[in-house]
Amino acid sequence: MKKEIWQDALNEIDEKFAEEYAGILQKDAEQAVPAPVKKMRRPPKWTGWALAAACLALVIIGGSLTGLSQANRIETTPAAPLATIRSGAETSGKTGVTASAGTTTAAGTIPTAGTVSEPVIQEMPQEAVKDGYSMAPAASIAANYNLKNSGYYGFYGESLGEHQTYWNTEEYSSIQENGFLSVKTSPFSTFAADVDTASYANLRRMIRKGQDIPADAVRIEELINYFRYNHGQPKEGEPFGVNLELADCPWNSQAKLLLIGLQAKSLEKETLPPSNLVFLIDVSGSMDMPEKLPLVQRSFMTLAENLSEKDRITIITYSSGEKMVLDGVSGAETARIMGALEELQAGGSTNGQQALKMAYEAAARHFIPEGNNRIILATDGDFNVGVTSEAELTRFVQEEAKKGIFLSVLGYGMGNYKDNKMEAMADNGNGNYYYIDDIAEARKVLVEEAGGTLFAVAKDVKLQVEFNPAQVKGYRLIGYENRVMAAEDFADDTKDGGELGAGHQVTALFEIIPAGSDFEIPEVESRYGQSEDPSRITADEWLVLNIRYKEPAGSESKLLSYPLPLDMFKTGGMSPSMRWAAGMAQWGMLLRDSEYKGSSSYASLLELLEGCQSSGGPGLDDFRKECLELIRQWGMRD
Amino acid sequence: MNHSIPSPAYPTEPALIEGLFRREEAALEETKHRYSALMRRMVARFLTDPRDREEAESDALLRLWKAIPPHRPESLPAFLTTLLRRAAIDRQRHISRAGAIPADCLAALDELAELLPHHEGTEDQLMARELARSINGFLEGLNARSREIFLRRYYGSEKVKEMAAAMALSTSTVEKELKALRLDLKKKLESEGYTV
Repeated sequence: MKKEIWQDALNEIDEKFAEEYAGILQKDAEQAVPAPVKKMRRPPKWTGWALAAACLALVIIGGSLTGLSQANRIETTPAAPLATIRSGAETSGKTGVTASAGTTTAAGTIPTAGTVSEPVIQEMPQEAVKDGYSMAPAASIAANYNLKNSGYYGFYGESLGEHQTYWNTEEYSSIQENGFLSVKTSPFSTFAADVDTASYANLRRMIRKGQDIPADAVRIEELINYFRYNHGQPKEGEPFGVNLELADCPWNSQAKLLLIGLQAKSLEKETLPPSNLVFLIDVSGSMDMPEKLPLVQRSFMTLAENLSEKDRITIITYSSGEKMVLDGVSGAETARIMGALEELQAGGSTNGQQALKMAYEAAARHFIPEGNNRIILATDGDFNVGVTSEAELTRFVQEEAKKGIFLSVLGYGMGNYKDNKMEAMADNGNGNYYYIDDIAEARKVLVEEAGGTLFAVAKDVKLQVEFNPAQVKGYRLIGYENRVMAAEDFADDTKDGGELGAGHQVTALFEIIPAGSDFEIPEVESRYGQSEDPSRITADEWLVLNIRYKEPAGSESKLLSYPLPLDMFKTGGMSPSMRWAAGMAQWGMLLRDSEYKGSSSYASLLELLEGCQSSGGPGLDDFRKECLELIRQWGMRD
Repeated sequence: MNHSIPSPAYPTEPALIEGLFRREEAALEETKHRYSALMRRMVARFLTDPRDREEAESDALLRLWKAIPPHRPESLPAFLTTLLRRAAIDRQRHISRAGAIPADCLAALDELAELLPHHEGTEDQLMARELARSINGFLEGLNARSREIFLRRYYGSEKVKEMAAAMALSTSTVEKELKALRLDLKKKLESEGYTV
């Protein structure tokens, strides 16, 4: 057939395909690699000067902020969008100007007033320059503010070359800290078990880089749960060992501190069920940084070294499209798996939704009954689905979890890191969420604690503490804000709890105000008074801990109960485990500048933690030593 | 005028389309500036000489000016892409000097031409329209990734090496995929009665 006919035919294809191709050209323009630059402070090309001058003129005039909302360094938090816009002073030394609420820009209307900063010129590592940061964060900012990204800024234009700006679009869910509750009005504290540790690893990354730490990035329960404690092993036939301790609270002289520890049973490596794992790897352009894709590759290689012939491995990558790299190969084919991981390269935009569906299909295809069927998603967080699609995605992931295919999430990198979304995905997928900032953390999560990471021994684990009003006036659950549940949901098996893997631990702390204390706790006066059956109140207990859980393949929950007798109160100080957990809580409260930090201080924190070495315990492991160094490093900044 | 900042008169794409619909010359000028990179990229794959490229770009803009109104495109970039492609190919046919058409553009056509090397009877334009319908059906049935590969190579006349880099694939993978796609397209065309 003549070539001309083909040319004409292609000219006549449906416009939607032409539009699709136009979109492809746009993506290419976004990821176009500029001439390598080392010092961003060099005078940019004339277009850059004209652009900077035009932006400055627009800001000074204070009129139309055409495109300026896209030209600013904005730290987005859902609770207060513009209020948290930074001045960029730490990099450019320039102050901002005020944008009025309701100001119309090229891309939409700024919802609230705030300080808008000038474009920041910042020294950038060469690797980051390749990434087309100017567009990816603009789209993300547009999504946060519900602004239309008209795409003028490099949409079909040239890449920005030397005059690129670096955007921090890290997102953290707002945390409303748990307050004190009266036992009279709220005798039950109910929450889902949580073994995520990402907040600690993320915090470590920020401290090492000398970054400011957003309060909402600090989830105290994840700081506590990052470390292992001496909670004791489960009794025969039970899935958990339970540890309860009560001691004086270090930062509140009117309170006691309650520690609740769960220890899930461990499984011998030889008895571990076979695994059907799908590595779902984000290879979009934003992953092209040393702490992202290369670390992902090394992470999974580390895991691959520990697989066997009974395991099945699928590798799927996604960027602009999804790709099946390996489909259900034996875990014994280490060289083949390693080779596939080595060949991964980053590039393209992030279209994860289809890839996730492909991953679930692959997991279903290689499903192992009574095995460990799991997708492990490795990403820097930008999944890029629309708001309505997020709801669909959540429902989809929840439905798949019910079929026994779990989803765990490994977060990497910074800048585009969407902590809130990744945690939500793991929670909905009955999996866990970890932040991997170095190969040591990867080894910890995927090898040393692989049992916990990969093999569930209990799912939908919920805890409910019922306090004895005769002994306890009030209480405060420290952390777990996004895991708190209504009391009636404890016994409702349709309400999800958390997943516990083999060898996992869950540690929670309560501040408890004893009965008779003059510590003020908000109460509600009842017109009709409280109805009590005095015969039901057992005077010699502080509280009872109830735990509900399901077997990994089960649908009905089982109940375990553990009362805490009065004589459990330790007058001689805390165990080393409790000291360390209390220290992590204290540090978290200091980081958040919590209103409940009481007499906490940097000095008292160090004293508490360093005392773990000499309080009769086994001493500090490497993770605790590293943590102390981080705290000292953090303390010097203050 | 700095092409990176949209004119305040046409802050959004719908506003620009509206300006073109009202026959405002400033809107055409703004289109030229706003999509200058798109235009350059598109024609560069079909024409080597800058003069030919400029000619094709101008031709595409003229076609745009003539088409709107009455046509009101849903997507200006998509419509412009289509016009650019047609203009570039028309320019290809107009010139006859050696080397005026990029080798990869010719190579891509050669690949397609091999699928059904012979045809009989019907007029070329009619054949082209029928073939377009078949290609539409073929593209509909592809997943996004395969469609991107096909569009890049045969609609966009991209080099295999460029495609591989843009899609984070090896060149051998791209070539294998293209071969598989051509085979599938050939089967589809044969099933629809295109004679060999």
